[in-house]
Amino acid sequence: MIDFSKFRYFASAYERPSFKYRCGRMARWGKACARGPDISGSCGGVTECTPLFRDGRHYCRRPKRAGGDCFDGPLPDGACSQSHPPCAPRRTLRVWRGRAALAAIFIVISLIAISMSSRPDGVAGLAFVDPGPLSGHHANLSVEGSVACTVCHAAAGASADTWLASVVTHADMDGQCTDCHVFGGPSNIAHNRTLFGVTRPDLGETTCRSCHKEHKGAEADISKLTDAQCNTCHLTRFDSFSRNHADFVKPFPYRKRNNIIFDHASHIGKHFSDPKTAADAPANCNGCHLTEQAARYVPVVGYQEACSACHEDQVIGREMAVLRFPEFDQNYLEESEILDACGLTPQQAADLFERLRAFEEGDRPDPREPEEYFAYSLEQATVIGSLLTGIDIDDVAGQSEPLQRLFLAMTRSGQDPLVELAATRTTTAGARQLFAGLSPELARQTACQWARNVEYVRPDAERPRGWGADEFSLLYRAIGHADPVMKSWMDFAAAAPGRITGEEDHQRALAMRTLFADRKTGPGACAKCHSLEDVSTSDGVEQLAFKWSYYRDEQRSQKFFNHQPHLGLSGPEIACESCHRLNADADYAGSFEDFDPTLFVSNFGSVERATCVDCHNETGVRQDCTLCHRYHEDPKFNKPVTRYMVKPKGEGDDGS
Amino acid sequence: MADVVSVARPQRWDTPFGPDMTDADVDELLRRPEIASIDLDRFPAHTPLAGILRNDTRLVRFAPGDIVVREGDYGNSAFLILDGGMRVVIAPSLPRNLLGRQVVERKGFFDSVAQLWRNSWVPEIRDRPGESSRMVRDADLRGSARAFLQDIPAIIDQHRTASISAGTLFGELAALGRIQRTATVFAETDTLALEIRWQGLRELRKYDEGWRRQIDATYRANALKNHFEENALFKGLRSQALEKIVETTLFETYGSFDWHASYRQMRQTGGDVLDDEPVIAREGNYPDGLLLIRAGFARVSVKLGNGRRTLTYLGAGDHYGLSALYDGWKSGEAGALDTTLSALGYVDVLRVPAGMLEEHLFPILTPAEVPRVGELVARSLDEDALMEWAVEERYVNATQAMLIDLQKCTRCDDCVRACAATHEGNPRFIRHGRTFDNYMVANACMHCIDPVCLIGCPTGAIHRSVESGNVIINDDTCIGCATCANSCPYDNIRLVEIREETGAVMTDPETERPIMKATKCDLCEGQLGGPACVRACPHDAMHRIDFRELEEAAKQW
Amino acid sequence: MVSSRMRVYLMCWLFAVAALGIIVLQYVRIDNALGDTSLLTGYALYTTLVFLALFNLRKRLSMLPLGRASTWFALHIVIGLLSVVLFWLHTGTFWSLGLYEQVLMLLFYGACLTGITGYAIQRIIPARLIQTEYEVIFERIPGEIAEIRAEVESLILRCTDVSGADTLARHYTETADWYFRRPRFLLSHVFGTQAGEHWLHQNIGIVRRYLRDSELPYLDRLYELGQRKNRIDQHYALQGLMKIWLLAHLPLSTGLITLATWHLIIVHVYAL
Repeated sequence: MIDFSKFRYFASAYERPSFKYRCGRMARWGKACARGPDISGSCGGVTECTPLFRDGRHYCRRPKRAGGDCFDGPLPDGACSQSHPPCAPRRTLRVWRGRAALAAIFIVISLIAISMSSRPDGVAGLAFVDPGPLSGHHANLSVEGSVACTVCHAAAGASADTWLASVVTHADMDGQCTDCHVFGGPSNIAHNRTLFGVTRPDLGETTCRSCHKEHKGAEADISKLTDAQCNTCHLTRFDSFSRNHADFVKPFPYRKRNNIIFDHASHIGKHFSDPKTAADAPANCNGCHLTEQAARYVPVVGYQEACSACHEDQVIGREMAVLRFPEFDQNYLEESEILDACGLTPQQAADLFERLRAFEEGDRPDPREPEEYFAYSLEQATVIGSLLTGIDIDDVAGQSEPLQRLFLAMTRSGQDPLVELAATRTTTAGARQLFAGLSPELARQTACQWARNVEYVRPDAERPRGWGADEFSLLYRAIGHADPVMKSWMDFAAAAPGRITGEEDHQRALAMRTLFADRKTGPGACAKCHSLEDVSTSDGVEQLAFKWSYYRDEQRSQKFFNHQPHLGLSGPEIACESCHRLNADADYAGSFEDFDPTLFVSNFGSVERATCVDCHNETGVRQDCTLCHRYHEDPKFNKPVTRYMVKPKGEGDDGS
Repeated sequence: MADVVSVARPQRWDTPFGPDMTDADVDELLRRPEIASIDLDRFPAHTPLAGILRNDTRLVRFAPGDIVVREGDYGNSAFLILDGGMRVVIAPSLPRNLLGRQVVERKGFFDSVAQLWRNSWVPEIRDRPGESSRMVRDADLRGSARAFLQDIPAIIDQHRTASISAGTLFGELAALGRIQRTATVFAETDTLALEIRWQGLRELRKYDEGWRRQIDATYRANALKNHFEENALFKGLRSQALEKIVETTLFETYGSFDWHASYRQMRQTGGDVLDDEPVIAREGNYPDGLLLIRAGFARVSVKLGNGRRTLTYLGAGDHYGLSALYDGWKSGEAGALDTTLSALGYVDVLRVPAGMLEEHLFPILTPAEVPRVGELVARSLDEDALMEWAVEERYVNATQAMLIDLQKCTRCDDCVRACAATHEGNPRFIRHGRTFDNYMVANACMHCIDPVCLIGCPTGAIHRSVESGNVIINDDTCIGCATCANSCPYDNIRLVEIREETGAVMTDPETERPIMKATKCDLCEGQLGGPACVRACPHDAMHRIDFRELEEAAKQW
Repeated sequence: MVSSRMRVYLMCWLFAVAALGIIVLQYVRIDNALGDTSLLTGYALYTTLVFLALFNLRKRLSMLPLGRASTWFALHIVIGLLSVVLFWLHTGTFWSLGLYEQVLMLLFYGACLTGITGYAIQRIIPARLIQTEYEVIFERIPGEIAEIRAEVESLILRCTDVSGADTLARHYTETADWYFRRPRFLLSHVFGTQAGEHWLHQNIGIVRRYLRDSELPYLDRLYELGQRKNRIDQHYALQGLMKIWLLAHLPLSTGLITLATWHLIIVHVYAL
């Protein structure tokens, strides 16, 4: 079948795949001429040989592979008799293939060049740098009305040389992120949290792009965090919440005690069923807890609705004795001084009149013997007074002169001496606040009386709320719940031991705090419900404070829990006790005897993980990490974010 | 049309074997007894004896220890010792390092890479002849880098050597038989030798009766001896026994020296090749001795139906007829041959008489050592078809046939391009050839065991590489006469028109015909990593094989 | 017995699987550490692409002992498939969102598909070529066809001379000339159907009844030549197919490498 004679060495020449041209005749399915194309790509010649002229004769010079000397021989003029029309040699397939490969490179580079040279306003989708649409809000960012690559990519708007240089330099993407986004702590620390201000370098730095990957489309949720991602850092790994999440640390979630001392056990178990108080008792949890507003916390109705019915009497019932006319050993005051300030009492006037008449009648008594002093009052000085004046309440001799001097001063200028004294223990404003509402007249009148070594007689029988006095005492009675004066005295008392130095004074301050903090007898009965708590700062100064608000101050940003969706899960009723189970044996009150808020025994048994797992499991509702935990600490926007906001349509057109 | 550049066409003897030969040297030689006895008149006018001596011989001086020829080398010249003495190492062979084996200059890495840009896509560019060193770079020219043996007494002590003295001709075996040197010869004293390249030797043998007789005598004696010593069958014999066998062995040749011409003719006329093959031993005849193939190939066949079925073929070192002789000796009855042996081309055969074998060899031979044709006969026609084809096409001659598995070949021409890349941009084979089933033997030089192309080259441009034995063409000395191309039975040598860098074809100013050069595969001699074509095949479709090893090798493919 | 080719492929697959395993392990490790896996997979992918492109360079550097091209080819195939896995690992999607990434993906998929197609072609076609029991070098096909045409034409002339009838000549110029002018029925040959053979049989058959006895040998010879041409056509179609697929694969690959390099630059400029 195959004609092997064509393989003879003179019949078959080497095929040269590297030769760039092939005979044009071949391209038209003809037989290629023996010469083939020139190396320049032109036709190798229209004749088959160049005859040799020698000795007057022409000789054929056709090579053997083209058939050897031809039959016709050279023409008489010496030209070759075998001629073909010239062809147009073609390039080989291989050449075209190489060209196509180069063309592809050229096309790609051209596309890049075109897209880069016309870096377009608002048509980033066409640019050969855009790896995909941005998510939601980021897609709306713009700088001066055009697509804002530069907001995140510093190199985007750079000049060509900077642009090229940034191939090898580091692009600080996180720096660009924190241009807009700020957090409660360093952005490159896990959870933006430092432990007591200390970072842990061994944990490594985090970057924004570890989790937030952009250019994944407009619908992409770039802030989604998977359990696996949490597990990358957290050494205690677990598969799922229901399977092997650690049990909640007991007591959960009652780690810190309440600000308001409310013993659910005693109220529900004792008082609400007591016939005397049962009428005012709430029917269920809803009576105090506003479940319809439930969210992270369930708000409570407040004092007026929840507590006042039973506790209002105690609030206004417990007076505060600020100053008292105690037992004196002798009189240290000149009578004239008292007279100057107070004038005569009717008794004195009558007495004087008597004596004047006797004098006129000639009764000339001898210069009087100094009268023997006798103590009119046998009372004890107040704890407050002892702190303000620096006296010792048991030391009758020691306290007589300072107090008498104080009274004398008060006779002259009302409560001002008291304010001045208080100002030495707190701020002037604070001192004024302590005596706010005290009328100078009352101060003077009581002082005059006590200076005269007689009791003060209250003009009216029923002592009103607010400032008042009885025979021997200057008193304050709360006007109602949240009385500001009483509150300032409470704060003053709580803070005093921490503020006042000096052995004796400090002891007096402690005594005063003890007085106020007494839950049974303390003034205004404040301490009955408002806990006194250690708020010492890290510099070591002990500091206590009464907690006035129902809500605790600190934020629990990572953990959040929404009560709302959980209501009614256990039935038609709002069954708080499904999770919050009352524990009657707990020593709730006992945990308030100390000031440390972390030593707390709740009325309620700890909420168990198992309770949650009832619903939050593989077959039930969500149980991923981010359901309960949040990654970032206090995420916020920085102010500059507004720079990049897209202007509403049409607004940019008016040149403003 | 391309411009034509005229340069002088190279002629026979343009490049003398020894460029330093002077007329005085020739005169001196003509007075030597070995030469003087030659009848000058028998030489034709165009090749006078003086011309042969002038152009085909050279005088070489050897210092003591200089290696003259190495065992295993391919050489195309013989030596006539004029003065001094040499020693030939008989056994054991000298270690390779002592021989100072010449290594063919491999291309360095840079030179190899440089082919990337140095190669031209313009076909067959050559330097202008005459401008650079005028073609004289004979690959066999022994340069100054001659290896020598340092401790001659130790060698004589440790190796069996024989002394050869002035007047001895040696090396003609390898030069004329186109086979490897059988022994190493080194100079024992300061020696002057006349080196005769084989073309010259051929002429001398052709035109002078005395030389012919002498050459044939030594030829036979050396061949026999070496051959027996190398043959595994006779390994167990004591040397006296071997001597006796050598003495009685007959030396025969079958087929013609230029078998290729008749073979080609026969194949073209479509005659039955097998019928025309000279029969060495016929099926059914009684053997009178063991036949040992010394050179060439012989076919072993049996009658099958209306034809002959080839069972196997024998090459150098193989023997024939052992089983019949052995069985006859065992049973006491003469056994007939069960196969026919016929010559494939030119075959040198040694006939060892049966009596010698019965006396010396058979007693120490175990029946297991006697090969049987039984298992060959048992093979199916299909199993043997490829071998039958290879024998038919004489591919058995190949050591490096380019076999392409068409089942895998995607015709991508990567092999051709690789070939071009390693040969200045010119391919040295054509990816076509005879096919059998899924095999194609492409038109690439097969580097034959019996390279008939070497016969008749007027300048010795085509020769065997001393180092590798590959048949290569020295492009500088090739005169483009196409003798080799015409000789090659496989059409694997191709003549090309050489060009200048401009692409202009160079022509002979006299005849205005293009200057041609014979080209062929050189098996990437000098290239790093061997034949580039095989390495370049992405589909493992190409193999350079010896058909003897085909079956084993094919299992690996 | 395991052929060397299978052994090479086995080694390549082992290597690829091991490499992929290491990359996946690293990927998981980095991913678990919230690191940027795209850097690992991206560079791995780019490396594989460059390696795949090196296969072409290997063909140009055939003079260097750079290992057998068949080993390179095996690696090219295996690593090519590996790159698909790496590609999806890197992109995490089958279709990207940004325009240039879409172009990049198109180029990658294109290069992949053409590559796989080419591989299939190279595995299937050679076996079909053997069945033609004919061999011809692709570049010589036009010459072969021209020779056949010349022979056919002289045959027709001789026939007319000998028989004195122009029936066959007319039929030839009207119909058969079309067939001999260039390779025909290429699609049929590609899909392995016998449209050419059928056409030939049909058109030789329809003229036979009008021919004289002296013309019949010429018709038979014509048929014979037509069959030979049919085989050459088959070679032209099939060998051409084995060459033409590269015309798609190569530009796609160079374009891909170029754009991938651009991608690398962009990523370094904008995000690293």
